[in-house]
Amino acid sequence: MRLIELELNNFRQFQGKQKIHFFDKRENSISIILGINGEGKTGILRAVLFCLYGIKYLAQDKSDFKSRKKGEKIHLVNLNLLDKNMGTPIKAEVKLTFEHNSNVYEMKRTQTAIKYDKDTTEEEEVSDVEMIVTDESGNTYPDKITSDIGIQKVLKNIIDKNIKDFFFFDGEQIKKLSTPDEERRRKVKEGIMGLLQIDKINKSVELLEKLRGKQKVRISKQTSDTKLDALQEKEKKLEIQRDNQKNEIEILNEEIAKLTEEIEKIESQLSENKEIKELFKKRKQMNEILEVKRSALSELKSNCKKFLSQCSYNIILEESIIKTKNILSQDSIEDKYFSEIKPDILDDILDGSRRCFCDKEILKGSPEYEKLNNLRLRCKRTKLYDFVTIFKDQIGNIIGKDKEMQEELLELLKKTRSLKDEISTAKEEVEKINDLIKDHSQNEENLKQKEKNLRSFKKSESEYNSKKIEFNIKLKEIENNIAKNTEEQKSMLDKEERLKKDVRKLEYIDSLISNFKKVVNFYSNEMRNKLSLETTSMLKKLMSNEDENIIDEIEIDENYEIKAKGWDGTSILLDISSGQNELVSLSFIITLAKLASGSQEKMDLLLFMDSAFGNISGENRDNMIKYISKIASQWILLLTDTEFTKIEEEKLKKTNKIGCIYKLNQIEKGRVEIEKISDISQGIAGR
Amino acid sequence: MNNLINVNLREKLDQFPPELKDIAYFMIELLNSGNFSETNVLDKVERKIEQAVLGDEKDEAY
Repeated sequence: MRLIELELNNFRQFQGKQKIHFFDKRENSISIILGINGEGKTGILRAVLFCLYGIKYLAQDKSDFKSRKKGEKIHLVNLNLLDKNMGTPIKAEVKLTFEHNSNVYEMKRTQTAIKYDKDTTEEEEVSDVEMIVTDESGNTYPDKITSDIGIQKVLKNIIDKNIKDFFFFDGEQIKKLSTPDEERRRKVKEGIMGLLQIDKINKSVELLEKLRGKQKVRISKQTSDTKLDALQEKEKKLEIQRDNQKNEIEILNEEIAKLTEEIEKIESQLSENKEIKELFKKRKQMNEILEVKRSALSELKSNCKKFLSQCSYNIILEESIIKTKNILSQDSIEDKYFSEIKPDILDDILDGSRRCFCDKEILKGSPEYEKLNNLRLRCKRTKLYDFVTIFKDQIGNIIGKDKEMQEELLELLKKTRSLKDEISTAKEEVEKINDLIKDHSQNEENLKQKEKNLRSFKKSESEYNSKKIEFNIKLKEIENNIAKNTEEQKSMLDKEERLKKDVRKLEYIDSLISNFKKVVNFYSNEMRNKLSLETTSMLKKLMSNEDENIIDEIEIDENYEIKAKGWDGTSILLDISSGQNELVSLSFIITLAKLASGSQEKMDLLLFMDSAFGNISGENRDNMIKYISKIASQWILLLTDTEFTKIEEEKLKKTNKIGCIYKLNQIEKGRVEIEKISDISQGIAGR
Repeated sequence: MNNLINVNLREKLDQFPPELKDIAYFMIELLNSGNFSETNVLDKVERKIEQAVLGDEKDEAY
């Protein structure tokens, strides 16, 4: 599919007729539409989807509506015109011309609305639509298709409505492709199977089974052999049994799918709860540490108390002690109370019991005697000598110890302060953990219930899977019995010459069924494997070197859902960023289109992207521009000024694939004009 | 994005026995075109099978 031209008339903010011509030359595959927020970029995407599929609301409208008033609607008809022409019906029209497989399709869809007063605007529920098809020789098919059902039937083989979001999307919404909800899963699977034509094989088998039944009835009417009748009767019964068994398996599959989804949901919730568990664990550890530190502090405090009770006097009297020491050290005090010779020795010499002093005889009346006598007289005044001596010694001791005590006390205080700091940090940490737990807002009871549910779901899933194996064995048995029966019938019919032609026809039908059945599983699995491998390889090309190793492998499961695996094989789709998610979805889409187009020719890949680069970082943007411009047969980009800076302009221009650039200009409130930039070789980006 | 038979599917259909290949291609093309009802497809396929059976008979006669 390739869009040729879009014409808008009074659609949304595009007042009057306005055109965008997307495509001139096949090699100019890139079209760019620039506009800042609110200037109608999404209006262009809306117009294309409205015209093709009659869609009024885009995926993002759902989330937008949640934050808006209930019942608020999207208005497709230009509001300015409705205001100016109250009471008159106004028609909005979108024409889209596109080509596919050399046919040109012209589509037109209109929507009428009328405004009665300031608050009442009514828009018709149903839009009018038509499609004209012209073949490659220029012959227009005589019948215009005017029913939506007819048009959707045509589009089913071009871009099925179920997978339109793969090719027309908002970059910021596309990540949802990789995590579709239950309702979308079935439709997406259906769409992908259609795109890869797997549905055609299934349909062929279904139709051939019908033909087989019809052929058997025809043969049975022509034969009078009662044994053959009995065999056919038995076959019918076996076929009913087989169909019932298939239904049972189908129901089981649905149940298993539901359970798997529930399990995934709970596991994802529990993985969040695992974080809470971790937080609880961390808080417990932190509280234990806090407790240890608190008791250490209390012990330290008691040591301090003991220390102070023993030595506090030192601290209290420190000043007085030092003063006393200083006084006792003064010279006058020294002279007053102390002499170098002890008074006892002097007494001994003076009373004659000791006659000699330093080998010198001391005789009464001698000058030495007189000197000693004077000294003794001075000493007599120092009755406090003993006390002062003890006092001085004690003070000396106290001052020596005081220094040690001070150091010990300082050490104790230092330890206390550091413990207090550690306690305060631990308390802050606990507070932080508490806040995080509050944020996750799950209570432990809830966790327990969820874990209980998970166990029960897993048990049921395992039971259903065993049942499924049992049913499949039974189904195989029935199918073998049918095959045996068919063989018996065949050998009987071979004997009846007149039935030869009909029997041969039946053989053809049986062989066709058996060959198509062989292809169904094989082809489907092969396509999934190819999708997985090539999506992974495309993702590695699109991702920057830094991000490349985050996702090890992409796996497309049997429901055609995307699973991203990390280096250790665990699913990491919910852990990666929005930008990375967008790249995963894009890689899947590109690969899907490649496989759907067949790998031999150039890929028939149209990508219509609104806010394509919004979530994508620099290197990934460069890779996107480099690879998608090479692969896509048409790439339409709706970009804001921050997505189309001088860098992107340069990179996009380097591809030599830009066909046209349009700019959306707001003329007045609710009115936007589309301007074609005539010379795209000039610098366009303003940033 | 296709009307034609996917190259990968084509590879699988090519592995059908020669007498069935044409019918299989024919059937998938009819379904791909989206222009025919189920009954129409069944009728056309049945006729195609009848032609093949007739062809077999002719071959046997020769």
